[in-house]
Amino acid sequence: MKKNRALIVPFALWAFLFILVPLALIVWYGVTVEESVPYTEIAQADGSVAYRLEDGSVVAERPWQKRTVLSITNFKRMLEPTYLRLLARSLRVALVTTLVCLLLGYPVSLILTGRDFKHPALWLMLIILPMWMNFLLRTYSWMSILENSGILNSWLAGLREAAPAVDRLLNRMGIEDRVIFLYNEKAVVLGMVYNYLPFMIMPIYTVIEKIDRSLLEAAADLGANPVKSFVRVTLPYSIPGVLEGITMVFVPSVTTFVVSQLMGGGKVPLIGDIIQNQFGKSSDWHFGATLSLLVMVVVLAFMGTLNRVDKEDGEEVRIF
Amino acid sequence: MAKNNKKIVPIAIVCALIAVAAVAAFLLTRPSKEKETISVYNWGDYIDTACLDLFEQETGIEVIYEVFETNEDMYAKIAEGGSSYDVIIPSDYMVERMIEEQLLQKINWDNIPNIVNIDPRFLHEDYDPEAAYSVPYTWGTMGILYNTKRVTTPPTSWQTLLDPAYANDMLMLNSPRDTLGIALVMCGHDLNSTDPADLEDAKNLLLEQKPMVLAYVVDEVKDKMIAGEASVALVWSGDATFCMDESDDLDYVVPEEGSNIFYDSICIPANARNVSGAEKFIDFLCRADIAAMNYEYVGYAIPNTAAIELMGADEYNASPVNNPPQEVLDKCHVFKYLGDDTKLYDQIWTEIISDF
Amino acid sequence: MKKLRKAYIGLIMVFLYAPILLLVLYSFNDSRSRASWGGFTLRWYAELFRDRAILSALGTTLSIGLLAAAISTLLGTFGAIALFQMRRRPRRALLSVVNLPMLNSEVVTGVSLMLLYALLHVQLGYATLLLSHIAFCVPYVVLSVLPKLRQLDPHLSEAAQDLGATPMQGFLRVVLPDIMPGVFSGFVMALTMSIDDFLISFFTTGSGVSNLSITIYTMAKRGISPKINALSTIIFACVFFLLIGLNLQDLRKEARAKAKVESVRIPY
Repeated sequence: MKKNRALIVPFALWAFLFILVPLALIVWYGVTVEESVPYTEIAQADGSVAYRLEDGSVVAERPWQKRTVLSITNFKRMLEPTYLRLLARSLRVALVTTLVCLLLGYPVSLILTGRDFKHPALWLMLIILPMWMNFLLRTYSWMSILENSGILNSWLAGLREAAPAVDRLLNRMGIEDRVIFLYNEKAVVLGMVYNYLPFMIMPIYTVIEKIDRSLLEAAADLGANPVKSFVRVTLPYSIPGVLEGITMVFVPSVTTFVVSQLMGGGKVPLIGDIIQNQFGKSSDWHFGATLSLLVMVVVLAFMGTLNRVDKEDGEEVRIF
Repeated sequence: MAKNNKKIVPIAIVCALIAVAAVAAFLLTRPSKEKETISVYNWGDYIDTACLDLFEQETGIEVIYEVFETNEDMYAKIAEGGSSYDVIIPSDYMVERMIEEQLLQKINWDNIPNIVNIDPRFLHEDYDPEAAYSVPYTWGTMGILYNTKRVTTPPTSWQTLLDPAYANDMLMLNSPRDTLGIALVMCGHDLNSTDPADLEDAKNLLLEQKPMVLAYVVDEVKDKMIAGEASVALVWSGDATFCMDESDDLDYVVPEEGSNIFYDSICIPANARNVSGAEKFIDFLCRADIAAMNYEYVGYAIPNTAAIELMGADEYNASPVNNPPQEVLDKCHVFKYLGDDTKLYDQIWTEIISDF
Repeated sequence: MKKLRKAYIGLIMVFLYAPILLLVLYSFNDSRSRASWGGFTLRWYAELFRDRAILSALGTTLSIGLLAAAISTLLGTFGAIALFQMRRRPRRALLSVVNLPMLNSEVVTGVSLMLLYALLHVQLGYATLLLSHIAFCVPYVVLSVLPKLRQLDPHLSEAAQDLGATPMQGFLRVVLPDIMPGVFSGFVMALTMSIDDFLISFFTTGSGVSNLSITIYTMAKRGISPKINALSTIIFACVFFLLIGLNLQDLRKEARAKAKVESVRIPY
């Protein structure tokens, strides 16, 4: 491809205005705090109270204005065990989610791109299609399946009634009443896997689909069995897709908030929930920005490690 | 490759169609310039939209209607100054904050003749002592919603939420201010206390309760209570009304120790563009038939005496949500705007829920 | 083995579609609550078409989604190509910048964009909403186009130019068809993200412009109306049948092309 340097200009401009400038604003919020304007009360001759500001001016009403000052208070607060533990848990949940997505999603991509699989594009579309239902609605729907009063539990109750043997077995297993599926970390992982699985399947599929068939045929001709040609050809070639899939699942998993609230019943708060609260009810944007910076640094470190694995954009992935 | 080439054509067509549709939609959704308009910012699903149509028919003023999810979101938008609204509906403590920060303007009562419909009992509350900036739109309390099939003796006290009989069978609110506020009341402290010792008591109480809590919920509480997911829950009265409409097994009580009472009030922001239009709209909302219509739709208790009479006071007052005993109501207080101390609540709440 | 593979795909489909089916079911439920079944009804569909707030939100969602997806696909594809042509170090730097928004929680992106508009004194409304959607969609397009470019044979377009094709022709005839699946999946992804987004939209819209997600989230306060389930069902059905239709057409064409090739082959 002939290089065309002009191409980069609009893109770089866009990246500057819509990524770097907003980011700079967040950094600014992260390193500052808001404090009330200092004032001293002065008693007036008529018995009322006036307020003197720092610049010497006197006002009749109590000053409510805030001013923004540089401060590391929020960084100190961020490093308290409460928040670090929350971060650790968020990372753990995100890693488990990513791993489950990879284990579930890779075979899907592999099967869809298999030579004897008909209409793979259609199936891929079917996999993405659920995302057209609103995220919140989908999660609510999972809740009505898994709740104590949900569909699974009512089926279980029906089964017990129909088959006393099952009832006895379950009782012996210590399950006497309904099973509590929700309100724990596993439920949160389930909800996240559900929402992010297509993000893992798509990039892997795209990459495997692109592998030159003749390579696989050549491998077969050279006597490689399917397992060997998978390990030698498909797997190394699919690495860029896998890495992209990992990124696309892991990153939103670290910052997610609705799923943990709904599926975890508020008992499995993640760092994303806390950040969300700062911009919402707690109304402390400065601390929210500080926490976001922390998460960004952690995720960037993760991506950096991943990039090293990637060996500069997968150019050096060798066959055989 | 040939296959891919073919795909470009339909995609190009789709893109073109899209662009046309988008431009059309854009032009259609833009308010027409000649018409007088007012811009209303309200909670989601908090008005019968038929009222908006009626207002347009009667006055010819077009309503640009937008919704928010929390007071803080609404505040951020107003304070940031990127947008301008003529009518907003914040809650009590937010009204207090916005008055203090000079974000609201005084309402000219001469232009709101229907203000006589509002029960004076609900005016001059702490958040707007002069009753100069706000008109109460709805009000409510916090209380216990319980399943009458499983809770045989009706609860009267907040102590129900500490009863081991309901272990893994109770729902709490995932909201720092509300839940800590109730915990403060349970400890016998002031609902608005910012004394660290008081808050420490409240925190310990909630930590002690935590192993018994099935979940800390927000809006999901309604579906869960209707489905019988839990036997008792800490709820806002508006949610209680919704649940009781859906299920006969549920009842609501405001415990005798007292509780939080809240108001959502109609206000005019300081930077409103069409003040006279806003006044007409507020007056319209205070009209008995319109307030009744909104009550039927929204389900929150209303301060509009004329509307209650119109609907039949007996039926309205039969609900424990609309009509808690006066002696309990006397012990209910509004949340005050806490300024920097809001952080303290948030910190404590985070410590409670992340204790694992 | 083949059956096992099909069974696996089947299981994944059950996992993905169980909650969707349930939602569709709720849209016919004659009770406002998800918790109880009140019998079959179509009244939510009837009410849906009378609710002007939901309908106008739907219009906004679709127009923003399609416009944002189209524009960000354009910007993202050319951006990816430009990135691909850069030298290693600046490319890495710029690529990291592009990926930054994906590292942020949505609320942070939303708030930071709102602060940006406040800084520039732009009135919040349709335009800011569209710009914000483009902003968060572009990285997804770049991410899906880049791997395709990496797989591209660099000699192919050089060969095309050696054979006398202009760079533009080379791009249109050689590069674009090869990366088209990536471009297309970028477009679909951008559209999907835009339609699903709530937080960024919330902070960057104003002047009465509201999309479906905002309507749904703010509704959650009083219980999500089954009208929304009805609407989701309609949208889902439309997309579903559109996709099936498009794919069937493709399949038929493919079959025809195959038949042709085979008929050509026979004489040899």
